[in-house]
Amino acid sequence: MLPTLRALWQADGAFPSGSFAFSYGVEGAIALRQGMRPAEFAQLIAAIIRHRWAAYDRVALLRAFRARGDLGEIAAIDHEVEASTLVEALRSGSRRNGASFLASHARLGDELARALRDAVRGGECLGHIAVMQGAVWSAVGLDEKLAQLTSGYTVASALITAAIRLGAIGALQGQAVLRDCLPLIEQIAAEPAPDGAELESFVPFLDIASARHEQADLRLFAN
Amino acid sequence: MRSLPLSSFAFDSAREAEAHLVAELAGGRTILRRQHVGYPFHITRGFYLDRARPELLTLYLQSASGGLYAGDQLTVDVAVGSNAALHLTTQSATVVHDGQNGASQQRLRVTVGSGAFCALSSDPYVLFPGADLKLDTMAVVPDDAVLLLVDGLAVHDPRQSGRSFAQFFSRQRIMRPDGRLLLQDCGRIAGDQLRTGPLSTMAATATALLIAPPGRLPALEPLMQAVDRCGCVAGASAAPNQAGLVMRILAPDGGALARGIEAAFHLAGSAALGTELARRRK
Repeated sequence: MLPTLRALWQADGAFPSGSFAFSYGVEGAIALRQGMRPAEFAQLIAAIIRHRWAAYDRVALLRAFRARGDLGEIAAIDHEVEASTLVEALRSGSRRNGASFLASHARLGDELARALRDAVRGGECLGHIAVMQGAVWSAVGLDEKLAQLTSGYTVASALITAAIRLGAIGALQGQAVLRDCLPLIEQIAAEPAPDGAELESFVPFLDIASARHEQADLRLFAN
Repeated sequence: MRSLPLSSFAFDSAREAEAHLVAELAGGRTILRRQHVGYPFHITRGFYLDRARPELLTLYLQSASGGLYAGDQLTVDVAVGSNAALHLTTQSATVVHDGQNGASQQRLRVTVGSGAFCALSSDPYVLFPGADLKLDTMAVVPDDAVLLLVDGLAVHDPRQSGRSFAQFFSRQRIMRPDGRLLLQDCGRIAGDQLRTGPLSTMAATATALLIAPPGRLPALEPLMQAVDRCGCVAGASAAPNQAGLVMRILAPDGGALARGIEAAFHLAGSAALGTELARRRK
């Protein structure tokens, strides 16, 4: 049961992972497509889970998880994520989020998190959140399945929390969207992710929204 | 690159074909030093359309067979020599026919020499019901050269069958000559997923990658505005690893997308070459 409890601990919004500062493009999406109805917003969240998280963040997470603390291998995955994240706001947001995540685990005494934090400071690693989560959660004692479920949940939860804070949907409506995402996350987590899997993403609308958000004068979130 | 459909030709399928083009600077002009263009490819004669940049060679790559068919495996290999300038484009969109359980594959290999300019901008692929398209692009670009790559897709159901395309897959990798990965973009979508969020309410999309030194890039905001004025919605951003810039484009249809791509080409070309480029007639 302990791995499950640790997964709950990592998925808990109270854990200081730094994710509260990032909207993962949702702020830009809401600005670009104003007046989105709850059903349309739910469709967007599902599209992000299906076309971004499933074959991109999840694959990066699993590859880092399977690196079993090998800093060189983790750094290679980190650099591949950097080269594959085309939009600057999503790239820098992912690095900053990863840095906060590492800082918390390092201060809690996690040796691998400390080593990764030093590697980021030294420039060997970049600190992308999915890569850092995969690496650290492997050391914390989650199994692959729990790591995927925790990652999927934290992404969906962060997207919805951002939308609620932006006033795009109500708090209860947001919980309904989150509830409806859970079977999709479970289904995707059950899909195989072979070692050679590529990082794939196809959500042009989110990329455009994030890129335009970079240029916005007034922003609540970093991305 | 993609190819021009000519509807007068009969159905054809499962072809393996290659086009090799080598452009080099000679006597103040970029010339096609070598070419091997196998059926169904066809290359036009070269055009020099820009008085202010007389070295810039423009070529139209066409297909003599009506687009891409099930099982096709086509390869285009383009090399642009040092300080040469090439614009390779198409005269219209490329139709991708029903894949019938066999994907149409198009590979593009690009090598850009030091100080060279290479633009590969073409009209979108038009995915017919059942189309299954796989694009695989690999480019090598030194840090003092310019490469513009644009790939796009639109959908069309000419018989209103109600069927969507089967799948679109695209992989683009940009490297430095020393093998360092600068940028990669890989994604896929099934036809029945197109209207479920990734494109919002739009039906056509393109990605433009502009690999260039900082001083030869257009400003982001005017670039997005120019593409937006064509009826598109664009988002441009600094590319990873200081490679240049990237832009995603959404459009309501292939026509608007083609206009947006053309606008992007002109702004990118103008910034890279320091002069307004002439309109490419299609």
